[in-house]
Amino acid sequence: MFEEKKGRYRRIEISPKRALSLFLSVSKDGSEVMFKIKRSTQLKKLMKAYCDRQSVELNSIAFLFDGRRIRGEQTPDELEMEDDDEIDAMLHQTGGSTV
Amino acid sequence: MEEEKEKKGPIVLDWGKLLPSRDEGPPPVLVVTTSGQEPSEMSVEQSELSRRDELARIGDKELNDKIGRHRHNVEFLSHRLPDKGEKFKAQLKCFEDEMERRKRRRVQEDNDGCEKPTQSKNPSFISASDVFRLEAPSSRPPSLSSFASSFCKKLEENQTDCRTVNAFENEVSTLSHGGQPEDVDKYSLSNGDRKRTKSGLSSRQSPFRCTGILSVDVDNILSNADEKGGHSTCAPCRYEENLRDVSQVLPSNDLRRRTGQTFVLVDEEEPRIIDMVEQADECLKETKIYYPSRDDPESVEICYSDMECLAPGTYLSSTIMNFYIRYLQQPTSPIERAQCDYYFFNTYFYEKLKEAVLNKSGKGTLFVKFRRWWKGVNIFQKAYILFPIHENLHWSLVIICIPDKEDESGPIILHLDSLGLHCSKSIFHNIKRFLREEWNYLNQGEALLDLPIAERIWENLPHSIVEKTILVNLFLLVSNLTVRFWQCFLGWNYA
Repeated sequence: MFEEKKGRYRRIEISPKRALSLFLSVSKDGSEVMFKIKRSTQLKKLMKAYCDRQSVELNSIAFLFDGRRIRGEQTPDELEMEDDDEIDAMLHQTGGSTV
Repeated sequence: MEEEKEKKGPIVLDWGKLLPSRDEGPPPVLVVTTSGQEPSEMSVEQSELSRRDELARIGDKELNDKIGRHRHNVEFLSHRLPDKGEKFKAQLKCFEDEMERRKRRRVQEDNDGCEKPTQSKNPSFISASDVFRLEAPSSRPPSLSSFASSFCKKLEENQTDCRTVNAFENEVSTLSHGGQPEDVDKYSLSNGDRKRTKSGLSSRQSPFRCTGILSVDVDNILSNADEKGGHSTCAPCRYEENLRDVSQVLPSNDLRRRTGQTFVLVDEEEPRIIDMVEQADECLKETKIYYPSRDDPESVEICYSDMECLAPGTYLSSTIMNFYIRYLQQPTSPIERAQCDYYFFNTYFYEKLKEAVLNKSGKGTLFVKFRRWWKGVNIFQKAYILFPIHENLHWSLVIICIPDKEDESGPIILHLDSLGLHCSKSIFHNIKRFLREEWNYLNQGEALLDLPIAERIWENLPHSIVEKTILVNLFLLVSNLTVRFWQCFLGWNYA
């Protein structure tokens, strides 16, 4: 009986290297929101979910991964994202000096 | 009994087949006509005529079905019938002829380049004219709707031939709701209720008939227009015509017809074109382009409306700044890529830099994460590191100059601010910390094989950083950028 249980536990340990989905955090001004997303899901879903949650307009925020802006149709797989990777949500900036 | 069934069979059976498949029944008049007549009394010409009428009303799919059914009958039943299935064979031939005729017409229409979707919506006008020649009353109440009156007015303005005006008045009166309601329904093209259109007329299931016959019939119809007390066939025909190339439909040089068409064409087509232009404009504004290409991992997304921030008196957006930053870094040749001696971070960099260097807790890991922004690049090997700073609705620029190996001085930080709005002191402080962190990180690793800077300076790098604030007129810089942006966008070669 014990042996069987042990075996089962072991089997769980041998999980595939790349899980089907991964956890990503979106951080903005130090605050983080965690998301679980499939590797093959377009990131626009995550962006929308984040913006809904934060009550901000989707087009007012730029999502960056490693300093590069994420496009909605890209997937975590495409960007080679890994578990616990961080996405930066940055507000679009405008500025200038009137002359 | 069997013979009678055989003679009557096809017609009655047809309706039985037709009834459930269409969205409304055939006109009762026709059923009465066909079933009321004794088959034996029907002359050959009459039956031929009625069959043709019937065929004209049948859709392609049904026709195909019929052909299939009759083939089957000829094959399996003919030997059992008294006439050896002669009748079936004759009918089959009839159907096949009709099919062939339709195919030919369709090919012809395709060659003419006519608009299929529009036509398929319209009723077939050939049988409309037939019906009207028989049914049209000799006179109509000359009541005109607002559309009709304006339509006629338009005609009068431009037309010299009053005959046509009269003809049109009649046509239009049938179009207007003041006319006969039944007829209005039959011919109002905008009316969504097309069910009535089919009653007594050929159905939309033979959609391509109209134009094919149009070129033949239009003369006939027009010449009859006056005598017949104005039947409305002309009006729909004209609608039809303006959708096609007019010259193709009517090669004749008949003045009144040409002028008549021109009006309709102008009235009908112009608003539609404007609509399309507006739509295209809207689409264009939302269309996204990727620079330098969609496949590039570092491509930037930009759309037409982003250019609005380049107008005088508006604020520059980060989108357009980042596009330009990307544009500046795009090498024009592979050699240039190898020689690229500067690194330009985007507008979000400084914010992240602040976060990374000012965070007290777990500073190390945060900086390691931040290093992914310039992954695979040793920034000390670049001659210049540039990045914009955005604070308080204002842009300024930082340039870090990394000395050569031969240089005696340490790195120089330049802060270019047009208004002196940004606090250079804190910026220098943050950047120094950033350089020290990076320097620390690089020193932690295995010994650097190729020191980018003279060893003496490298060893004491954090203390040899020089800082300089430059109060430039950044507006000139920015406007210069704007000019270059436009040049790049319009494809001019910047020299």
